[in-house]
Amino acid sequence: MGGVAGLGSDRDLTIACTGESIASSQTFMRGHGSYLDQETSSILSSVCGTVERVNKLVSVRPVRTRYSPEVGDLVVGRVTEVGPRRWKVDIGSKSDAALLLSSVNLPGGVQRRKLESDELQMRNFFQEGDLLVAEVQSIFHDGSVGLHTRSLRYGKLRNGSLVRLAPVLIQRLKSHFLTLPNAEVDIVLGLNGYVWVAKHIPFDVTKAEGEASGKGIGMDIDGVYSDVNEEIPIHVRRSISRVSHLLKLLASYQLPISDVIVQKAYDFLHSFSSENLVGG
Amino acid sequence: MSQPSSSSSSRTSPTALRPLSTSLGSLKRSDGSASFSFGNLESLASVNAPVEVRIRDELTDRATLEVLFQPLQGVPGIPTKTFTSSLQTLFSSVLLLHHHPRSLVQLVIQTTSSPSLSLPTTTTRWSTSSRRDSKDDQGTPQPPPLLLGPDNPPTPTEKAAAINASSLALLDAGFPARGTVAACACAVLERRRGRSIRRSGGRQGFGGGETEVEEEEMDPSSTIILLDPTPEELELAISTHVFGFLFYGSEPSKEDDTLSADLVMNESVGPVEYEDYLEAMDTCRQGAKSVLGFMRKAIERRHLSPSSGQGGSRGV
Repeated sequence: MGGVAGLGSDRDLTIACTGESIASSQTFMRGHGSYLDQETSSILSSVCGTVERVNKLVSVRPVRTRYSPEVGDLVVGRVTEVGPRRWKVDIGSKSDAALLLSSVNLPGGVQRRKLESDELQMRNFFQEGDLLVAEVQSIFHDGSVGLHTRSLRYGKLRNGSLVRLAPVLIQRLKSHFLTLPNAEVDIVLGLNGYVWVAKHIPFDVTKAEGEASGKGIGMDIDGVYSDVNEEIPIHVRRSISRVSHLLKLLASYQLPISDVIVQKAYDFLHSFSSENLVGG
Repeated sequence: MSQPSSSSSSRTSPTALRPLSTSLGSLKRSDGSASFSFGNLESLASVNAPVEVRIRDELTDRATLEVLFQPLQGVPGIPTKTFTSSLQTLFSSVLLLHHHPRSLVQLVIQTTSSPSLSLPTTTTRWSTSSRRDSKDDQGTPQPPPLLLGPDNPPTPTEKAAAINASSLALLDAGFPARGTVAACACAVLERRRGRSIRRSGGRQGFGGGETEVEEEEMDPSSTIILLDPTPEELELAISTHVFGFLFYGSEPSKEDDTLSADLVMNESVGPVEYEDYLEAMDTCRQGAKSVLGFMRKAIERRHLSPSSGQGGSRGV
């Protein structure tokens, strides 16, 4: 299959399996996905994937890996554990991410100071099983990830359904909050492959600030941290279901997911009469 | 050189494997999954790696490897634990665990289909019944399912299939490893009996099998090694062996000229002469090479197909 690593074959694609020799260590440096065999001094592949060569660096890119977080990524995660002053969030990567209590907006104003009572009542904010959208704040020296929700658009997710796709298909966009106007559906594209499809709620900055400030100091958790869904009409539920199926279909054919592609695909779908569509 | 034969019931060569088949990525929620079968003996493996590890299992310099095996019948007991501990040793030496410290590699294996003996005997220890509707020639009624008693140890071919399925699942998950593991089982039989079983294509075995009697077959102590033995052949075996090999070092374009094979796993049961043991190891090495070639083709096919099963799954 393909030629020797580095030379172009007619497909220009060399696939190496685990343990296959891809280059000699005298002429190349080894990158990710490879290791050095001492006896034969050749570079062997440690994963199955495509061999990539950049000048003198040879590496193997595996076809499927878990999501690896980078600072600034927007991710959708699920709370798995409530710990002392932090939550553990599953973002589909090598280890669970940590969301510190000091990295969330507390009701009562963005600048509200953390009280001791906040630490003792963390489940009023996020409980085990809650879905949230956050941004990767930092990566600690041991590889674990820290999140923050210090924006009025981040926080607990409601009124929708989760779709899990391969992380490699989500492109980095300017904004990961999409809206499909003819479907009345909001989409949050997490870079970790978790996509939230929900009822459309127009984002109003002043209203959001008002919610965040709450009704004074204290444990007013209505608004931002509410666990109650709003009323979702039948046609919106159908749209949410259709968009979810659409995303899964695009992913099953390895098509990258972006706002343009999803919008075009949904418009095409919408052009058929709604009675003939299955999956409503 | 062993070649997989065309039909499972008409294997005539002692070094022929049953038809191999595999299916990659069938479990959508796992990082990697694969099923592997020797004929109608099928094993399914699933890998989640690297994932979050419990604090008490955490190792600071490497990933923790957890192997779980579910037998076809019964609850996992001592024989299962023995097998998983042998797999633990095997994969700890093959996987590059130091690349992902403080995480967990979780490997779960289950035998999903196992052929049974067509004539159950009182001496049999490996009477596992097939889960699927097997074409039972004698029309023997299947034993009642769902025995919640202690489990039987996995047969040598079951072990080999489990190792191959795990190896494929680990390749599918993309966890770094030193090479690819392939395993094969073999049985040492009396030469006369072994020949007659294979010549008759597996149909005849318990009789004498009076075909042409060669001079070497007159000697009752002369033995023959059968690769990928069926339950009937295992029943008549003097000793049985499973060998697992780690393959690495070949060029992607060339065939196995520079391929190195290290022995990484061996379980043998029964009395065996040293020469026979070496011959068994060599036969299994050839068989494992065929299995490796088959596995590599399956991986290539999966990566080059347009919809290689990377679709989304509905979150809970």
